[in-house]
Amino acid sequence: MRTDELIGVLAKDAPPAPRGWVERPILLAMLGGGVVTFLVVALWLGCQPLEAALRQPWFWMKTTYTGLLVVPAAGLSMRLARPGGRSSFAPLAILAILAIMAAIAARQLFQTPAEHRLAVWLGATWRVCSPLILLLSVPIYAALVLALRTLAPTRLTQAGAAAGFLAGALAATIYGLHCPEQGAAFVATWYSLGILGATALGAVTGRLLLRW
Amino acid sequence: MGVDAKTQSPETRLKPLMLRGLDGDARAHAELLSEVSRFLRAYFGRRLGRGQSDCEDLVQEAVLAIHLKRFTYDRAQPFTPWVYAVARYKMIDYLRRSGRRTHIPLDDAGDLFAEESAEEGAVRRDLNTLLSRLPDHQRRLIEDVKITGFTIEEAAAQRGVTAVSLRVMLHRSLKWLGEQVRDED
Repeated sequence: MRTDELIGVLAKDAPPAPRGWVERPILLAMLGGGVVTFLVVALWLGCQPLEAALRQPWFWMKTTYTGLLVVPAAGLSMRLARPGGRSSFAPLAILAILAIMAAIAARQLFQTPAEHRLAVWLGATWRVCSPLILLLSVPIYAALVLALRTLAPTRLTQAGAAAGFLAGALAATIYGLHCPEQGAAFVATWYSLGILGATALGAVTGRLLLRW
Repeated sequence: MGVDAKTQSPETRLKPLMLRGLDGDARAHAELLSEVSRFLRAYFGRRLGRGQSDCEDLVQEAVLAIHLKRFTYDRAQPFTPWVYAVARYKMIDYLRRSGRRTHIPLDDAGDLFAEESAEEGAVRRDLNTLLSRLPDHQRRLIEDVKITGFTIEEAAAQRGVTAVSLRVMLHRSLKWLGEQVRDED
């Protein structure tokens, strides 16, 4: 086939293009993957008694932290899903949220008597927290990969890292329904490490999985 | 195309075509792809410095990609950086698939639109590399539709299907073609 003939064929496949079709698959992937992750948490790990938890400031501290990370991460994934899309202010917003959380954690540790600091920092579940968040991020990351493959990211490592970060932050938010920990220092460390793990997973696998 | 069109920048010339194509103007879409293919041919030729037919395969892959992914263009943004990003991505992917490690310098959209040293001869060469990836029935569909004067409606009537379902079949075949290109190693 000659190129002009190909163009002739393509012109016959040119109905009006839908708008908003970059955002939609990513939101659907967050929803779909999030439901799977929620079911794993609810059926396998078990949730905290919600009525009691909803009245606790520490519950909201966790949800606010990870939930706030989801917003710029989703925006970043949507930008990087378009050819030539660059990260804009989103990484700065993410860094600011991490920095604020680190400051709150430092303040908590500072106010804790020295002999209790390690216990506060490690909580009762530090060994499982980060690996569980990484594990729980996988269904969401997989759904995001499927969504991004229908789009057109051109910086695959960056797009993978952003999708991994988004999956990690969303998974951490859902994990918060199960997690019994109450300390800011715990959350700032072990939650963040889990999210970082998911980011690394995305950065490494993105260039292979996101090709289109 | 008037005399004016040549003096306009690629951005002012191509973006309106893209917008009209996105709104369903098939003629504008064809004109856009044809204009862009000329830039792609020169750009790939400069960057790869290889045989015409090899280069033309890549032009066809990139044109197909631009077509299939056109909905990812944000109408509020300039058009040339978008099309340049697709072209560059497809070239890197092509080199990776053909097992060549080549460093593609990071440059900007201006590089794609540097100059139009189009070798028109290449357009007329019959290249079947792209189509050869398709199974027979899909290839026949595209062969039928490509014949000038053969409309979607005529091709549909011949097959005893509605024009709507033929359009769907055509779009699926093209999408599938894009995936074949991607998965070829």
